[in-house]
Amino acid sequence: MTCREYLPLINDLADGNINLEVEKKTKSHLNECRDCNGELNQTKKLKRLLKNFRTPQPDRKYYSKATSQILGRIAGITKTGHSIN
Amino acid sequence: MNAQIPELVIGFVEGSDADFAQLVRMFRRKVYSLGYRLLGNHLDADEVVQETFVRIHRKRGDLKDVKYFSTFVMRVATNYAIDLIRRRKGNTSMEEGVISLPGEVQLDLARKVATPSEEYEYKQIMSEIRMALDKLPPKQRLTAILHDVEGYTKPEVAAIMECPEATVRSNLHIARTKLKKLLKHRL
Repeated sequence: MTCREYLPLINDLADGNINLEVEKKTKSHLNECRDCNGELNQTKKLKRLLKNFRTPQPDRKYYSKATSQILGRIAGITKTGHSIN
Repeated sequence: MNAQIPELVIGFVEGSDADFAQLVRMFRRKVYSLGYRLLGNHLDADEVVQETFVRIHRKRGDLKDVKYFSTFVMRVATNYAIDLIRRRKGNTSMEEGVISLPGEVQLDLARKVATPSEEYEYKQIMSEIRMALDKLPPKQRLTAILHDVEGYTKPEVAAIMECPEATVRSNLHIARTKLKKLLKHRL
């Protein structure tokens, strides 16, 4: 197997989502290949970075208002029988 | 809280608006976060929230066959968000850093940081991640967000996106390869 073919398996390994036999084979390749080892480390770092990706949250007023709008639209649809796109 | 969901879904399917309203309250934050992560701005995230729940209400008849309501909600939300990305032709209007919008919606940081320099650095990293994600095609972006940001498993992502698990695996591999290049200086 080539390094290119190992790359998807390195992803699976980083996710801890790999069967034992393939894990053994991949780890054996990683012991010999510096580039693929670097890929595994980079994938793990990327996963950590993305896990911390936060988005701003609006305050509580927003959610109450949005919920009222949704329920209002639905009440309008139910009343008139028209669907809103 | 989760134990209530099946009962609320049954009530909703049978016509209870109160149960539907409760389901909206339980899932609105999750839908908003997904919408914001995918589209990068408040107005589009709000549109995803509104349309998702209006569509779910319209599809209430389909819910009899739905095993997991949360997966169904995320599926409706992601389908709408992908449509929106395509309508915008990939040009989502990412907000720079964390901004305060005029009017009633005031955004604030989800994570508190200790000093102004740390806050600046934090905003910078978040902004770079958003810009890197924005460069991915919609399905790769969605796969990376659902799996690596939101923490869904591959089978769950496959259920939300209605595609084979192998497609999720492949999209994730391609997305990560691109993101590693785009965020190289952060890794």
